[in-house]
Amino acid sequence: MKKHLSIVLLTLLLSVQVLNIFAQQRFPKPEFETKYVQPVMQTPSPRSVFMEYFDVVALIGSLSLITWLILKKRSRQGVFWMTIFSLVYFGFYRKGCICAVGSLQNVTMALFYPDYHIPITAIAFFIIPLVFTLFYGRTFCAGICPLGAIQDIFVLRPLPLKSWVQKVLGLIPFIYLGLAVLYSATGTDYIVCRYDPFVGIFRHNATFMMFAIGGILLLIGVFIARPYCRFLCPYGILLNLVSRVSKNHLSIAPGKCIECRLCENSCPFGAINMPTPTKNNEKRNIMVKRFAFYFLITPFLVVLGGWTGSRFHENLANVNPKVKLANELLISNVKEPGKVSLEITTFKSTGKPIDKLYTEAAAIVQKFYIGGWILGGFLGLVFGLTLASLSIIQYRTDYTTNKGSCYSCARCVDFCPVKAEVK
Amino acid sequence: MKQKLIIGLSLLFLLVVIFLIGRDLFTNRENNQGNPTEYNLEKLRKIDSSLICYREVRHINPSLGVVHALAIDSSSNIYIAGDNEVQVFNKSLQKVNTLKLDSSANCIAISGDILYAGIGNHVEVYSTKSGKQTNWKSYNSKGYITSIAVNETNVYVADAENRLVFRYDPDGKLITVIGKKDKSKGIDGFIVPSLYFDVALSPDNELWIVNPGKHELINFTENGGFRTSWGVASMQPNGFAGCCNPIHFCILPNGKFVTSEKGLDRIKLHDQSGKFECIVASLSDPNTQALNNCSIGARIHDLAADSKGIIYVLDASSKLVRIFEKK
Repeated sequence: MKKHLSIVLLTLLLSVQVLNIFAQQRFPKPEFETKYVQPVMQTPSPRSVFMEYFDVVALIGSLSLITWLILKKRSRQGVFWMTIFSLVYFGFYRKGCICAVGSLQNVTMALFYPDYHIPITAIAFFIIPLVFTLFYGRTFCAGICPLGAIQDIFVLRPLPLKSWVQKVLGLIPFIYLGLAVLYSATGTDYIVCRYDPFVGIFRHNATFMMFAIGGILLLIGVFIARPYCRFLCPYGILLNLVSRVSKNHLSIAPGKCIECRLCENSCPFGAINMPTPTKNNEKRNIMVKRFAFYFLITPFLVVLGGWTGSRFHENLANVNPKVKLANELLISNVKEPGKVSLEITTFKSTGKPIDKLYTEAAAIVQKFYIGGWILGGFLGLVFGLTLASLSIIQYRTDYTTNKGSCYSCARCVDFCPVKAEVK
Repeated sequence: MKQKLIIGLSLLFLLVVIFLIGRDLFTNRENNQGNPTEYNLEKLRKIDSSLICYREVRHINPSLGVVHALAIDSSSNIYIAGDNEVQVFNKSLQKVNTLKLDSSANCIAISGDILYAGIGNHVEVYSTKSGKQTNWKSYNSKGYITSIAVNETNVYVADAENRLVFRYDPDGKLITVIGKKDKSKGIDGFIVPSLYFDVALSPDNELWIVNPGKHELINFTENGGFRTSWGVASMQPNGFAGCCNPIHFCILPNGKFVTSEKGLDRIKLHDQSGKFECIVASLSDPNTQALNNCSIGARIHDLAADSKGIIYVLDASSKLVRIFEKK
């Protein structure tokens, strides 16, 4: 029934997209009859102050409701309808902005640029999901995040991934997080927003490449559930870490697990911890030695990562528009004096001295040198700790949710025959 | 096996996505298409010469520093308003009179020997023989009069700031306010994004007003009731381009409309129902190449037609009145 409903909703969603092809804006963009290309906007039109606050209230309200549905009602159906609501409200109506995922860049920029006035909505959208996660697990991911919601609808034929594949791909969000922080801390760009694959669908406005990427990810999502959430989302890293210490996380069984194995394959995200067979128990001292080895080489990996990152600082800095322009000017002066890009023409028309641009660009490159060290060191640390964590085998007797990677979507609870005790 | 293949392909696509993002972020690919969002009007300015049905036959050089407005009386005398004066030319294009004004007129209209001048927020009345007669009381202080149309019984005054047209009697008494938003009467109000708001009367004394933001000409009754409208937004010659056009229009003795636009600077002829007929003048016409030099604001400051259907165009860039006749 749910699958049929998903297919109907999916068809409706795609139909809306098809209708948009025929949409025309009469005023104030009456140039639709020509081949003029309207610039793709990265941010939607600003909302009124009242609506911004209303959005925060809507976020708190919907998070409270979905948390209640997950933890108290244990209702997958409720989560599904909240997913639809979030997709419509936070996705298509609010056009996906500001979202919690992108807000981490606003927060980073506010930390590094005291003169940057961060919108209160951005702070709220960054903090509120983290606070809820701290207490109740990733209920935000379950059905409130519009990026997760749009993917969740496409989870039709989920296939299990090998644990090692998940671990390896699970490193990508750390790289993305590091880059997002680096580029917002240097005032370069909000890359999470620029490469948000679904926001173009919400706004009916994106480059062909981003539409294609969004489409591919949704298509992949039919078989590999929520690929963006699992293998790209940088905000998910923070939620994962916070969720690990959450006090009231969703449990598969409302009471004592009877190890019936019915839930074993219910999670499309591979976020169920299986009981560890006793026969595979390793000797404790071997495990401790292996852990100690990986733990001890972690500082070395941090330094190695930092050094490697610093070697690539110029490549990293070249994303910055000012550095890119300075490089283009240098190249055009040295190699191809007659060939100038639109950016160079625009810069020259401002009358700004080139030397000043070079000085500013050099200062930014220096920031990237330090940033390269930090980014590389961070990735080295993540790699080291991941290796160390892999060396530990936790022995379990019950089927439990992996508190870090579980999205609290409540799919598993429908499979559990254990009934909650009536007090 | 099938499951492994699907997973493998899915992961491959995922890596392709990551590769595409990384490539877009870190590589500087040259844009060979130039500026894709540059708003280039050059192609649109080029109009098929077979569409041009008028030719420029003469012009008047009034030797004015600035030209503001144009009007033609029933005897085909031509009135050209400049700074603080109006020059009068007869149909042989000989200058016959100069009227001194208190200020510069944005627009003028002539009825018999009375000249109505829209100056700032009010109308001033001048006799062509004895000079200034009176000032009419302005509707409010913020008004900006952009066009006047007159017949024997009514004077219609278009106010771009208030986005209204006022109907006065010849003595300056306000009779009707036309264009106030009134959903019950089907009147949406005028959208006037810039100070171009024209009004004209047909030979049958039908009142036509431009709604530039909706790219329409609207026919009202003299009491302000909506009668009909025509117009379509289009960059092509059959419609009106940009945010707000047409900026000026006049009506020929046979009831056909002549419109002028800013941005694309083209003057067009439409039939009595508004259907596009042909181009009167465009930049691709060698006869009007002199129009090419104006880049700011509207080049065409006014339009008028005489009793024979000859079209007069007030060219602000060359400060000439260009006269067009049918080919």
